[in-house]
Amino acid sequence: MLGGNEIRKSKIRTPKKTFLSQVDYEKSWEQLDEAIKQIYQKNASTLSFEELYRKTYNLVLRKQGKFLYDNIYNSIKSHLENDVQPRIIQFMEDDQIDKFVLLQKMSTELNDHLLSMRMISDFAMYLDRVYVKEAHLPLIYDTGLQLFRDYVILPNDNKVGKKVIKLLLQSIDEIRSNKIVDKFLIKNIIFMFESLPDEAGSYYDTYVEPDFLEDSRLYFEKVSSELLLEQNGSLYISNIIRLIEEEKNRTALYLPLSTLPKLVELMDKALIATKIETVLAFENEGLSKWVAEESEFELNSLYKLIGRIDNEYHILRTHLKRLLISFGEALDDSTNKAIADGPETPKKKATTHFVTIWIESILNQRGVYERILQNCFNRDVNICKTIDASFALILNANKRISEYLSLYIDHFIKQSLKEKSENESEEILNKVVAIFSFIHDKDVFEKYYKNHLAKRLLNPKSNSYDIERNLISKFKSVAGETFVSKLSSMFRDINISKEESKQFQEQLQQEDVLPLNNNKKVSMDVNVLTHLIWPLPLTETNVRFPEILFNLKEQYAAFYAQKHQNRRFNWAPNFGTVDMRMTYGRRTYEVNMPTYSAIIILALFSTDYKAQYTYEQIHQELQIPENDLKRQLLSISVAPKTRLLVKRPMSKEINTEDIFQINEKFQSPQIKIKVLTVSTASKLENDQQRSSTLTEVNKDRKFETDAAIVRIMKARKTLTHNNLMNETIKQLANRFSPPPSLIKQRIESLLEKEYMERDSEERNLYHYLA
Amino acid sequence: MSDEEEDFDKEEFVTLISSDGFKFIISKEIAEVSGTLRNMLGTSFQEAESNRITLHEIDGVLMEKIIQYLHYNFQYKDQVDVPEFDIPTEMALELLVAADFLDV
Repeated sequence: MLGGNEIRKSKIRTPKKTFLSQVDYEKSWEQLDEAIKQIYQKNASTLSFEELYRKTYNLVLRKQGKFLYDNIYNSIKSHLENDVQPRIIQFMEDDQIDKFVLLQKMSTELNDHLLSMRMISDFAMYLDRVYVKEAHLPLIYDTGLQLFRDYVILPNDNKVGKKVIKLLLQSIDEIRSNKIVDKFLIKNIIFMFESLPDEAGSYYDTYVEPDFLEDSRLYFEKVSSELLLEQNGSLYISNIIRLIEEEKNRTALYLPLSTLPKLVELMDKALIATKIETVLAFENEGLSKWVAEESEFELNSLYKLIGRIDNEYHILRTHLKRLLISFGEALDDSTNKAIADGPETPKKKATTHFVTIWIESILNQRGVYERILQNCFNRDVNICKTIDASFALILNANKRISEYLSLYIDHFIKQSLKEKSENESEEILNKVVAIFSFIHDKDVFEKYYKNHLAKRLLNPKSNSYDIERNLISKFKSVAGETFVSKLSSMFRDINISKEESKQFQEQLQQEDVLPLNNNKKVSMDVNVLTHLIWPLPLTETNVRFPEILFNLKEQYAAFYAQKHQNRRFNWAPNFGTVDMRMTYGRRTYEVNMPTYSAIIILALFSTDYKAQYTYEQIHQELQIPENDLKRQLLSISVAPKTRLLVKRPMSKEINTEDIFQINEKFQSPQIKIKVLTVSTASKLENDQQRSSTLTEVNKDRKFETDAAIVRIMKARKTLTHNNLMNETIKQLANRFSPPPSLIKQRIESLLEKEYMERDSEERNLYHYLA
Repeated sequence: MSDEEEDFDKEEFVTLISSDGFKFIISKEIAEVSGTLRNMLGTSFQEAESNRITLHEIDGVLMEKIIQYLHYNFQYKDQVDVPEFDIPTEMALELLVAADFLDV
């Protein structure tokens, strides 16, 4: 502290007062007004901030805030109205001036104004700070912007504004057509409009953005419509992707961030949403071609584009579904036609051939979609679902799908398996099981599969146990334990039979048994099958077995009875084969033939090889069912490679008077001969067989439905009708979809049989009766 | 305080002149604690050009106290626990007016 200036400590000094009583307000304002004019002239550096500040400060302090504010307001207004606006109008009306020069001029004018406003509001900061705040007025700077808007841009119905916007949009269009435009100028103009306030944001928001978006929309519509005319989806997609990318990049330089999402939305709508359906449907270079050719770029681009407008990909899914369904229809048509035409074609192909083609087409198509899903659609959950559902639709639309699939598997295991590596067959099995999982009526499939499996298992040459087991475990993982229980039991029967046949074999080798078989060493494998599980008709036959077979049969029966009590034993000579040695002339052949054939040869010709019999005699003698007998006789007398017998007259028909005897001239290049029974290969059923299969299936369904209902009622004791229906449908879903009428019918039947009863009061309520 | 023009860095320092002619050379950073001084230096007026600010409303004594305060404020800005700033009672009213003028 400077001691000399110190006055007594207790006394507070009063601040010095300037402009004390006679402040000449008007004079102060004149000086300020003059300063403002100087600022407009860009002569600020000659002015003393402190002096201007002090003047406003004192005016505000003397309660002259309003006087000062109004004066500043009017001064700016008159400057804009009288100097700036006429200058701009004059510029604009001059046709000679290039639009970029004009835009530049506009930008400069505003920038100058903004600079001036900055300075004015700086020195008038005390006015802002004290008066403006109290009076709830816009700050001086903002006032300046409003004035610019109201007295430069907006007068005469937004005349200047409209003109500038028009030039701006023209420039943006030029940027879009790759002309060289000063993007910073565009950015400045847009920034200028953004900085002008408006009721709801900025002048840009109110006037420029809507025009810009509309202009952009027209531009996108024009571009995309022109592209569509090319009728080329690939071209469209690649161009659209580029356009979107370019538009984003170029607008990033001048477009306000707030407009970008709107522009993107606009592009998505104009370029994708309204056009993509047309693009998908293009015949050449559309969805169907891309899928067929697995065009990854197009499909992936499509996925990305559609993802922009719909994250559930509805359009894409609808079209994929349509595509798959028409694929399925075309496949069915061509297959049915091929099967119908089959017999007339000279070289008759087995119907299994078409079944194989059908299933393989489906498998291939599935493979195609799998790859597309993986490589192009990012395994989108919704698309996966649609594709699965569509496959299920195609598959179940084929009424014979269960038969087809089972036949295909049969064919695959019997024929193609040996040509495939382990990995390949594993892959095929997985595909097959995938198809299986789509089948609604799994019980029908089970029926066919059991038939085919039975035949395969009973064929002693089959070495497919591993793959059969593998397949069954796959079925199990899809359809559950109960679905495969019968199939597994079939395996068990075969295994136990093998074991027991081995034991029987050992017993046969013992000396004391040999005399029974005329001292001939014979061996026998027997498959003991549980009747309920195997899909084989149980036929009581009176077939007369030749002695040697009869003895073996009896020995095995005794052997089996020893091990298992209380089992009924039925022989099924219509299955199985016999190996025997036959000597023709000097050569001895090892012949493998069906049991029936062996019975014919052993019973009739083993004692007298010159004997002759008519068909009628054979039938009477052996009691082999006629159908089987005819087939067997055809195999051993007519089939070209295995004419063990001679038939007279030689023809493909068998009549009762036909005569059979040993073919003494029989010759064969091979020692080992296999007699094939006519039609052992699995074939497509004819309509009659199919309807009988379906009748069986329907019968089984009744039982299964009964069982399900009883199971549910036993667990729940009491249940309403609707709940029981739902539970039953749920329980059976893995097997088939029961129609409600079936369930109702079974409920009625169970009520009758008193497994359950209706509630005495509430008719819709059932009680379980133990 | 010297009458001579000091050989200081114009970028970093500014000369404040009181109504009675005292010169104070302080760092711009410190001066800009005051909103008014900040604006004076921030726009292209005479003061910003010459880097000299004459404050006609404030005498040397007051100016010294104000500059002390500007340093004090700068030193402790953004801090919570700060020592008290000594204000001589007789200057209280003048300082109050000056604070309003300088927007500190």
